[in-house]
Amino acid sequence: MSFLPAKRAPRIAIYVAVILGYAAILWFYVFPWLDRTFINKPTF
Amino acid sequence: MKTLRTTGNVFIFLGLSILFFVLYELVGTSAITKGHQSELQAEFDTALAHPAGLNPAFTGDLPVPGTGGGGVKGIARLKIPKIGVNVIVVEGVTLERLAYGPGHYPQTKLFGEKGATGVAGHRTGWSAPFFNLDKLARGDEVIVETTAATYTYRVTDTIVVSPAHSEVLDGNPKSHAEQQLVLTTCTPKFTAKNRLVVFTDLIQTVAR
Repeated sequence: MSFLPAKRAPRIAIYVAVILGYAAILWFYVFPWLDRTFINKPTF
Repeated sequence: MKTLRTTGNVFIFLGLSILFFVLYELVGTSAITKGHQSELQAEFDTALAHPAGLNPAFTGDLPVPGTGGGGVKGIARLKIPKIGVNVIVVEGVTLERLAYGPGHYPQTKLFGEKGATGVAGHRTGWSAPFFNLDKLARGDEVIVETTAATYTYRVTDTIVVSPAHSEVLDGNPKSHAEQQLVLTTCTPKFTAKNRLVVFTDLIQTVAR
């Protein structure tokens, strides 16, 4: 794709950064919300 | 062909995300709670050894709010031999508190007081202290240790109710026991649809 650098190393670095960023958003925001909304509400 | 490949990649991506969520629920959250419980167990042992000395945070059965630094302190040790539970109970039932371990409902009585004492615990993730709560049957023992006394309760009933039925925290209407312990968790497993409620009656108190 044209918006990615042509060289391999920066391209891989961008892939890794995007994956880690996505994982962090899931782990710290999306998953806790899913957990408290659908999975874990043991109280009244 | 390109559409098929894109669709396949999207499904692989979603599948990996779901696997990541399972990892979060089963490993990530439990690691957090185990770390907290390890500290709470050590602190509680110290409090039992020196009830009026080294740890002024423990003053009998009173709930101890978070002390300096936002720390959360245990108020009791809950043991359920039949399902291998041995955890420290904290004060409060917010999800932040339940990340430390089972929590005491603030609107219910404290251990040792007349009336019903309510304790909630997770059934999925966060070490799932009440994962096997449905295995309890009438007559099983539940033991609570505080710095003031050790209380032994006996299971009298187990019911499933919707989250709207908070009156269960008033205790088992069929029981005439002066002191009761009510344990609550989610049911069925892995969902927050209903609440599993275990009623117990106090049968013995041994003061420290």
